[in-house]
This record gives sequence, C-alpha cells and structure tokens, in this order.
Amino acid sequence: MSCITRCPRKNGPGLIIQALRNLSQELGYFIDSEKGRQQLVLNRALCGNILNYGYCVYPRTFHYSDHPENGPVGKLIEDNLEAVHKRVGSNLDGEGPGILRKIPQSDLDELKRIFDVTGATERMEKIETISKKRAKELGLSDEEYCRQIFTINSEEHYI
Amino acid sequence: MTDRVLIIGGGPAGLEAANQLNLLGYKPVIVEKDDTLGGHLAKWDRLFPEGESAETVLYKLIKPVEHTPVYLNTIVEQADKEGNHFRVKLSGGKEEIVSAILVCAGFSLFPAEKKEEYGYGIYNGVITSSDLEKWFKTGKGVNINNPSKVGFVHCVGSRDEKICNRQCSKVCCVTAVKQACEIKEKFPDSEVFCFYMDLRMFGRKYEDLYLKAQNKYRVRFIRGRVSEVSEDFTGKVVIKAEDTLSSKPLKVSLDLLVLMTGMISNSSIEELSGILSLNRAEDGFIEPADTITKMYDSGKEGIFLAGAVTGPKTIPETLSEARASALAIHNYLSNKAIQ
Amino acid sequence: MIVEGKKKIWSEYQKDIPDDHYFYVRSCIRQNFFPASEKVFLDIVRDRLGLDFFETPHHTTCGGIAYHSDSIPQETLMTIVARQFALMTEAGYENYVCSCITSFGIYNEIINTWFHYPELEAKIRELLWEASKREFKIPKSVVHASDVIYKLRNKILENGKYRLVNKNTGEPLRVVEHIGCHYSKMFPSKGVGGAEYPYVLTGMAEAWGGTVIDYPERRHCCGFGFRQYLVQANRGYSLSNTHKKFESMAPFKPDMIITNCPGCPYFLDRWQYVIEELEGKTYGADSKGIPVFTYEEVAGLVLGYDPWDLGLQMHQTAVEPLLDKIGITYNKEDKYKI
Repeated sequence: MSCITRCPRKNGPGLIIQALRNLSQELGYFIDSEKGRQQLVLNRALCGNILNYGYCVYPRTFHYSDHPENGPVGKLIEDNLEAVHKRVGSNLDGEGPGILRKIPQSDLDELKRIFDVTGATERMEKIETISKKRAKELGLSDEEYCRQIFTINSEEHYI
Repeated sequence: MTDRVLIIGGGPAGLEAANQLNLLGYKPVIVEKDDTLGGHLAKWDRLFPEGESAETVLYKLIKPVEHTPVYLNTIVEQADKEGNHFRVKLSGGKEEIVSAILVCAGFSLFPAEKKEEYGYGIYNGVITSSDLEKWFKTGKGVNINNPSKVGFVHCVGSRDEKICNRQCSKVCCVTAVKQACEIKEKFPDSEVFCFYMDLRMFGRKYEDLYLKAQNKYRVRFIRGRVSEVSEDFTGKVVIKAEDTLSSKPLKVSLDLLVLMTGMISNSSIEELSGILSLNRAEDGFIEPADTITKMYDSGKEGIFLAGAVTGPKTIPETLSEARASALAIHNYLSNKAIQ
Repeated sequence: MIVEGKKKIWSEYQKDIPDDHYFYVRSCIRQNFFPASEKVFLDIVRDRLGLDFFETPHHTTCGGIAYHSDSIPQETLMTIVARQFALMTEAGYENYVCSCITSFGIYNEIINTWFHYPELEAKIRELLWEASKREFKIPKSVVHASDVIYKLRNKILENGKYRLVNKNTGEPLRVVEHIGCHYSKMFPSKGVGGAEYPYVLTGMAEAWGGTVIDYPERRHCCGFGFRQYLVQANRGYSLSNTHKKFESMAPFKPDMIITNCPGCPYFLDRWQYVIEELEGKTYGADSKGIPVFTYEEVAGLVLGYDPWDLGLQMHQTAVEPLLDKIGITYNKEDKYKI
C-alpha cells in the first residue's frame, strides 16, 4: 500500500491488484499461474488458523521445518513452546484474556458464521475444488501438490 | 477628464498594459504589493527558449512606463463601484478614483516543501528551479560547487491531484530543459538527468532547445516520476524513480536535485477576488467570463484581467494578453464616453 | 540534513491521542513472536501509570493477514472488524487501541471506506447482525499502541533507569527507526509525524537519549509483504527487501533498530541471521548483528525491566551488544532459563 502515498492521481495500484486477484479467484483463473496457485496454501494456513484458533498466525501451526529462517532460537522456541511462553507471560491456550489465550468456541462459531454470510466459505471451497482438480490432472496427491506450490519457484511466474 | 485605470500588479502583464494604456491616452496607476516592479521576472536570470536576459526584457517593459505612477508595497483593501467609477481604498490610507480596474496579480510558485517526499527544506542538496535561477543570476542563496551529477524533477506541484493542483504549469518543461543546458554550460563534466511525465514542448523553438539539450549537452531524459528522495552517508541526494520506457526502477545518487516548482494561483488572490467579487475556478485561478474569446473579461463591469492571474502562461502570452486587455479597456471607456 | 524542516512537518502532523479509557486488541504476530511486548505495554499503562486499558478474551484476529493475502473477501474482513467494534461498544468504550499495524491500517481503511460508501457500512451492519446479532458504534478514536507510548515517552523517561546513551563514550546511541508501512503511508494524517518523516518512534528515541539516523532506504518496507513471506517459494522477495535496507543503513553504523510493526522486527531480526548464514555478512560492530527491538521492549529497557522478562531471548540476533553499550545489568545464565 506504499503506492498510495506516491500516486499523483490518488490511485491505489495495490487495491487494483487486490481486485484483480479476487476476480481471478471468482473466475477460476488463479489456477493458471504459479503465484495464483499458491492461494490454496495461503487459504489453508490463514483461514484454517482463523477458523480453528481465532488467530491469523498460531504457534502450534507455525512449524520450524517450514520456517528455517527462524534460526536456532526459533527451533528452541518450538521445542519448548509452552515453557518459553510461560516464562514471558503468555496465556497460551489458557482461559480468560491474555497473550495467545484460547479463544472461546462461541467466538470461533461466530467467525465461521461471518465466513458463511460474507462469501469467504464459498471462496475457500472454490479454491479447494479447482485446486484439487488440478492436482488430480497432474497426478499429484494433495500433499505433493501443496508442497510443490509452497516451495517451487519456477522463475517463470506466469505459467 | 482623462480616465484613470488602476492596474493591480506590477509584473510583466501590469507593466505592458500600463504602457499600452498610456499610448491610448489613459492614465494608468500601478499598485504593487512588493517593493519592486517586475514580479517573478525580476528574480529570473535568463529566459527560454533562446536564453535572453531577463533583466533586458524587464528593462524593455519598465522603461516606457517610468513616469507612470506606482504604489509599491501597497495592496487594494476595498473597491466600491460608484456610478461610472470605482473608489478604491489602498493600504496606507491612500485612495484612487478610477474608471476601470485591470487585475494582473500573476501567480505564486508552488511551495516545494509540500511535496514532502522530495525533501525540500530537509535535504541540503534539494533546491527549486527558482533557487537555481537566483543562483544563476546572483551566485547567492544556495551552495552549488562543481556538481558531478544533477537531476531535475518535472511537474513538482503540477498535474498532481494529491496536493490539489491538477493543472499543468506549462512553462516548467522548457524551463527545466533551459536550466539543464545552463548547468552543462557551467559544469561541462557534469551528468544531468531530467525526470519527466511528458515533455510539453509546445512553443516555437522549444523543440530546438530540447534537441540541443540531447545532442549538444547530452542531458539524459528519463520518463518517470521521482518517487522519493533521501540523503546518503556522504550527504549526496539519493533518488528513486522508474524509467517507464524501459520498465526499470532506478536509484541515482546526485549532488544536486532541482525541483521544477509549478505555478499556482497567487497567494493573495483569495482576498483580492473577494474584494472585487471575481469568480475563481477549482484550481484557484480567476475564471474569466469567456475562456476562448474574452480571456480579459472578468464578467464584472469595468474590471479586466491579464496574465497568469487566469492560469499559467508564458511571458509572450502574458504580454499579448496585456495588450488585448488594454484595448478592451479602451473600447469599454470609449463606449462609456459615447453613452 | 536540515532538522528544522523536519520539525515543521512534524508540527503539521499531530494526531489526537486520548489520555485514558481504551479498548485494547492484540496482534496475532506479536503474540507469537514478541509476546512479552504486549505484556510490558499493559504493565506500563495499567500497573505503572494506572490507566484504563480493557481487554476482552472474546476479541479475535482482525483477519488482516488473510485479507492482504487475498484469502478472504473484503466483506469478510469488514464484518470481523465490525464484530471487534461491537465488542468495544458492548464494553462501553469509544477509544480503540490496537497492537498491530496491519490492523491499524485496516481500521483506518474501513472507517474511511464506510465514510465514502455508507451503503457498504449498512450492508456490513446487516451481515454482522445476520452472523452474530451484534451491533456496533464506530470508535471515536483509533490509535496504535505506539501512539500511546509516544504520548507517554516523557513519563517513561521520568521513571526510567537507563537512557539510550553509550555508557563508555557518553554519546547518544545511533537509532534506526522503522515504521510499519500501514501505519501512515495509506493515511498520512493518522500517524504522528505523517508518512514521509514519521515522528512516533523518533520522538521516543530522542526523548530517551538516542539520536535517529535517516538513511536512504528508511521508508522501504521490511519485506514482509504477506504472501511474499508466507509462501516459502516467494521468500526471496522478502529477504531481498531486508537486505536492501541493511546495506543502506550499514554506513551509518546504527547501534539498534526500533520498530512499531509486528512483522518488521521479526524480519529485520531473522533475515540478518539468514544473511549471515548465506553470505557470512553481519551489519553491526565486531561481526555481530544490529539488535532489533519493539518500542515496548525499548521502553521496558529504559524503565529497567530485566531483559529476559522482556522476551529478548526470543530474538535471533543477539541483543547483548546493545545492553552492554547502555550498561544494563543482566544475568547471562538466565537468558534461556525456562
């Protein structure tokens, strides 16, 4: 969104890209480019975290193996997650308010209903269906397909 | 009684109109808010497209009107129409009774510090076209010491909706080309870059100057806006831009960055338009009654317009309009006399 | 550099930051990677200064990362945010303070969009009612938690134990301030100091004794870029952005970096480790990295908190060079004690 500060005509190119990406999902075109296909793993990670835990990022689904840049400290945190969080005052999966508290099921149910009434659920299902079809065409299992779109950068991003 | 005509503004438009009104047998009176005549021209060194001395041009405009009454450091405070005349109160307790008013209030330069991302007033190596012109003329104001790389940014405060100035200032493109050539004349070993959106070389001989800048002076014209300016560890100005013809982002370190500040409506026009009940357009300039056939007509009886008060103009255009306004005033006063 | 020019701009971008009575919402990323920062924030405002900052366990993510990764439609994001506003309304608050910069940008974007398209606000109200039978008022004030610490910077100094000064030379520490892109780039008037020369972190650093560095890539993004990082295949984009910033700031020899965005301290911290592993290059003195901090961590250090209570052991780039420069006492053995 840094573009907004710069444009002499007050345009937001970032918002235009956002609109085009949304359209490509609606029309199913996303499946035809490398960056578009990545939507599946983004959706599974982010929407999964939101619906299951109430957070966009959640430590028990953020794996060191997928994030080696986290370094030895990241590994240490993952291996000692509860103790580290306890040491610094988190309320990891605990009741009541606080850092990384367990968000009550009634609130997660509300988030799910919001997803349902605002089109997010339908969007997720569309991405899943189209992606699964592509994985089948390629003869890949779901896991193999996800691993491929998560890790492979072809340098020819448009195909 | 010979009709008196009040001219508001002693820049090129006001001076030329005064001369013409004198020749037509009227008694012009000039009111100038600053302490000298000449407006922006008095601060300029050389003029596009052929590098004529601004001082010589100003002399040619002032000499014929040297006996015309002038109020310096004076502004109009009130103007009341009384029959065929205007009773005009001026600052300092003075008063003039005149048959017509000619508004030649000119323009202001866009305050470059408003384009915050360019760092004017923050980074030492960032100056305006006006600062550079003053340095050409006097060697004062800014410190320019044998720069090896110089950049010019076109359209600073022009064609920019973000800062509420949509209009093209018309003269900055060719002024940048002129100044780029002058930099190369003074510092032949320097590299000069012009960052532009479009180059609007509309006037006669402008294209020649543009070609000279490329062929003789090797000025590099890059189509793309500078996005932001900063300063590196050595004090050099670092700019980011995009070369939109090659679709590549650029980062260039410069010794000097010149911002081509555009023309905006005169900072005093809000007050003056209120006093004279003149209409202003969305861009702040005075809106004439007819923008094609009568640019000089304010739409208010007895009040006329000339020069950049109605929008950005070159000096030749301003002078032509001043003559047209003088003639319009002559026609207006002649018709009055017959009635 | 002409400081007066910056001061003039700073004076033009002053925002209203309420004194008290806030509804506080957390940041997903910060809870994961810098959890103690939020703890210290509430310690300072509630326990040390006795202010009213209310938190409900029922608030959730704002959905911002999913929105900027194109995983949820705009209506979904707006309805989740509307629910957060409803929780605030139900709790009887009007001042909304968020820990996350992405959220801060989103709140401003949504309120601004609703202002221009009231029919969209009406639609979101209907969707929220349909989903949860809740109603909401738009907050009177939306601020970022760094705005609050900025406002309290002099009080923090008054109660401070340390200053951002090199204890051996007596010289101010050289501070790089890094502002989250969504703090004021979208809405310059919503940030202290505007978009080009934000003052929110500079004000803290200067008040606490440091001097701020203005380097060519100061305004550049840390490199998070949402999907640029979240998908492993894209991470080269993220890394190259951070690399660009470090190459640009290195000649100024910064002692430390202060950030106000959840992702930025993570990337400025972790990518230094990666650059060292890949290229053997470090950007701090003595072949070490440049320590990176959240503003709460720095406030905590100034106030004399134990560095390990501030969670500084969760950083990959070691913070000890800075602690030693300031002269902060700490126990090495306690660093990883859990």
